[in-house]
Amino acid sequence: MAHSRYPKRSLRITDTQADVPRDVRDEIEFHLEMRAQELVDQGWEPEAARAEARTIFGDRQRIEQQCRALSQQVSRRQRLVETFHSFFSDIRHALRYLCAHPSYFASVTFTLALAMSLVTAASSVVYGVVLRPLPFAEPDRVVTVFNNYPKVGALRSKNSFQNYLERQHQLDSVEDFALYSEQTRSVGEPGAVRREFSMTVTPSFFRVLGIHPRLGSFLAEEQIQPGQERQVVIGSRLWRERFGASSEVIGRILPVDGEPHIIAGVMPEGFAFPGWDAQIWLPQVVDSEVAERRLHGENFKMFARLQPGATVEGAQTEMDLRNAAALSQLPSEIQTRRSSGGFGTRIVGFHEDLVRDVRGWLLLLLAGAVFVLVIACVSISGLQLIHTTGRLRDLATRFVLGASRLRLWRQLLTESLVLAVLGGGAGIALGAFSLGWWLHRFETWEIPRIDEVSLGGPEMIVLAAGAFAAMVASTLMGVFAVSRRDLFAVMREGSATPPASSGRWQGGLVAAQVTVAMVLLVGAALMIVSLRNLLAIDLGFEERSVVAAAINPPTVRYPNPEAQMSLFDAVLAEAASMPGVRAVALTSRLPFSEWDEMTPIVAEGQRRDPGGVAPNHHLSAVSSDFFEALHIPTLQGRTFDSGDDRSAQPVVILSREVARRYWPEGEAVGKKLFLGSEPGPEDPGFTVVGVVGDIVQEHVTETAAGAIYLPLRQFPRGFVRVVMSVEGAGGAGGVALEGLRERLAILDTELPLFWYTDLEERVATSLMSYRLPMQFLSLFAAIALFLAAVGVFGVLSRSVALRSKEIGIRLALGSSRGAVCSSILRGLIGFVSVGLVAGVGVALAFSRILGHLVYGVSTTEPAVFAAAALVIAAVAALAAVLPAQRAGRIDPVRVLASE
Amino acid sequence: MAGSNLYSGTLDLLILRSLVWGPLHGYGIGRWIRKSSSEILKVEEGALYPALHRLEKAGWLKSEWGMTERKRQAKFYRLSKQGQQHLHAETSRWHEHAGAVQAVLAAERS
Repeated sequence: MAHSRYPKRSLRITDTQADVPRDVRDEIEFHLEMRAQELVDQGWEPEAARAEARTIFGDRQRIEQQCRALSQQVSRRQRLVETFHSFFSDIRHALRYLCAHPSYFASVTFTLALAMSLVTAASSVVYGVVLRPLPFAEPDRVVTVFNNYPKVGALRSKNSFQNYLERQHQLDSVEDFALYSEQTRSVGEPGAVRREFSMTVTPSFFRVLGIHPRLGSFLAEEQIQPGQERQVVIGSRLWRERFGASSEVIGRILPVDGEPHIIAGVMPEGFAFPGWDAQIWLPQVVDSEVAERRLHGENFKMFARLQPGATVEGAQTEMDLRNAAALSQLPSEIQTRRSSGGFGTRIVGFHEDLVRDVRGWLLLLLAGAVFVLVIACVSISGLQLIHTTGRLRDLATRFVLGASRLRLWRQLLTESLVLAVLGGGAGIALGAFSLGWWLHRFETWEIPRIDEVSLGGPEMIVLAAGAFAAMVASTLMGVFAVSRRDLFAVMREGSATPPASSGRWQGGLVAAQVTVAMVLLVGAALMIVSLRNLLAIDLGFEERSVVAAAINPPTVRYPNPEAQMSLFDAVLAEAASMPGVRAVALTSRLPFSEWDEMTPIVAEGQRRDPGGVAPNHHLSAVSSDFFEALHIPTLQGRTFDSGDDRSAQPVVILSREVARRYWPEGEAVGKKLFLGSEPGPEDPGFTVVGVVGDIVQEHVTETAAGAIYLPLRQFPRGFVRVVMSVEGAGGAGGVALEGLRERLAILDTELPLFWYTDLEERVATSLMSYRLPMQFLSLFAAIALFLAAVGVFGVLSRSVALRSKEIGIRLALGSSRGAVCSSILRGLIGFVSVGLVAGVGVALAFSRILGHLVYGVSTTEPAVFAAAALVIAAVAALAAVLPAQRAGRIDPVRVLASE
Repeated sequence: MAGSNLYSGTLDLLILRSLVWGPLHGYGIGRWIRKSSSEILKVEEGALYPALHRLEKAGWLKSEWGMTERKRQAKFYRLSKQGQQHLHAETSRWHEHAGAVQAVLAAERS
């Protein structure tokens, strides 16, 4: 530092440690000297002039004191202003620098923004679905309850009335149990009937939710009893749309499925039951006097609210004891069913249970996005390293000219912050923008609560902060490089030759990139193979150009099966007469449509194994053209025809799996069977008239349970689906459904057609839990691969540029160009290999998590790993081509002449 | 505040006025004021300095150390943008005031 007085003072304005007293003293001293000089010029003696100057100046001490006081205030404020000023000037400087290097600026910002947008969107989805609290009071106390019979493979059965009666108020750790089931209902006066999602619930349902009505009250406790005037609770959306949010709605009559219901209350604003956005809540009547068959039918979902402080484990223990104690009081049939099935009741946190199918996937998705962020940060570190080496000379010059090392660091740090803020901010904006696209993709997957996802959440903020720190850290690579450099040495050497250590740094970064790319690529490859395996599975029916919709004739107007059947016949005739409809049929259940009915059977003349459990088979009641509409092949015998009605002998068609199980010799046609496990003595049974091909019922990965088909005329159902196979693809199905709706309106103005289904879409949706993660992982892997390629390219280009002199000498001394290229590549191969090995290790560590997410392929499948490694090696080689060529093209004469 | 009493108000105005032609150090400002109006600084010349620092604090002046023609280090003052505006406003006010006083003094008995 300079010690002479004046230069020090000339720095005063930028010196935040201004010495106020000395400045004031100097200023006044100057005045006195000048004033004395003036007097000398007028003829005064120097000594007298000085004395006179002091006299006319006045009380110097007091004046100096006043000046100091004023000046100190100025200086304090000035310091603050200067701090701000220098901060903004740093930012301005950084921006100016970055704008002067647009390709560097753009590549860093773009990489960061891309990675950050993925993390933003993924974490928003994870928060909205997995982490965000449910719309219940104290949601941690709400649990799902379901029965299971593990010995017969029924891991998730529902609950019965009897279960409710034997559990409610019987467990110390549970405050309330509630039964509920989900349906759709025709709601409203004739002429304004609309289909609404509904729930039928015990009055305890609302206590389990722990919420309060917006208006009126919830269902009264006695609504559970039979013979009451029926009440209904409506959702706030329905309340607004149908009743204009009128406060006088309580007590009014609302027809539900044609029956009058009194509106008891309105749900709180915005309440959406997770997974079933109902707008109608009807009372579930629990009549302990009803037939035993209904009492024990496990047709209801159940949830419960734990007592404050009770644990899920405690409730589970209590439930197990309760089940054991209740067993002896049950009818013998139920006792047998329970003991043979290994009956148990599971209690699981409601939220945990709700997201059980998607939680793993969504976390995997988030992990993938975080991996992309990691590889992006690594790439940026690499870019920084290259870039900073390129400007070492500039930095060294400024260092030599007096900028402190701290000052240089501060500038580099400011640049990093600017990059992180711009890149991260752009990423969050892009994430918010792309979230809609993500959600659109996810909608087809039918994830619970996905429609409630919005940007953000506290966890996302934490994640964003972490990501921001990672971005700053990665952009700080240049700062580390400078701190390790002797800037004077750079000046002395006259060239920006960085020490070898930065090459090692860069190689390490390439290895890290390859590691991450390997992990993502293996994940994506496993998903691609899984999906290919799934798509190769034969469904057993044709799903293309098949559409369906449900009708449910109200019993008020169609009181008996004959009336319903004549309506169905009219519907079939109308549909068949429509242009473009190839085949039309009715069925009580449709594959891939979450509506199932299963039954065991007993074949005539065969005895069930004593103690063995009869397997369940899918049961459908279908009209005659069902097999034609779905292209299910007839293997033996015949399909149904119009003669198979109630006056004729009961008949049945089996799928191959069922036929093979009971009549392995292929002699099923003409034999007799009984539905249920214990046929009564009067049961006439059903005669097998045909055998058809097996079809996949719910999911391509299911184990075939086989199917039994009954003629709809003999086995009437009030709730059926109209299935139409149409000609032409794309919109033809939708057009046909619309046509059907119009014709149906002519037959019966109050009969809504609902649950429009496109079977091809349903099948595709059932694969979404594989297809979507595959798509996202592939996207992530592609990004990772690209970034790794850029990394390899950067390292090699730099190494060629730095070694051009050495290469020139080697070429001049007779080395072949091939040898030069391979010497350039040798280091790279080492780093890539290290990355591949590490990637295999990390991928193997993750393989356990991936285990239940893949199909038909092992998560440690060597072929997949080999393929991924090969792809990375190929991409690395491709990225190396250009720099290696450049090395080979170096002209030794030019290089040596430039020395 | 400046302008609240006649003496300091006038001194402030003179200081600002002295800087209209460019930066000056304290001594130069004092000399200009002495030449323009022998009365104001008669009591003590040093009173100029607290006034300068006060005006700087008010934001009407900026100061900077620099070299004089004789190669001496001195603290130079110059008008800030605000200072210029203030001078302009004060000058018009002064003219009005002076005009009013003039009118009163010149008024004839009616």
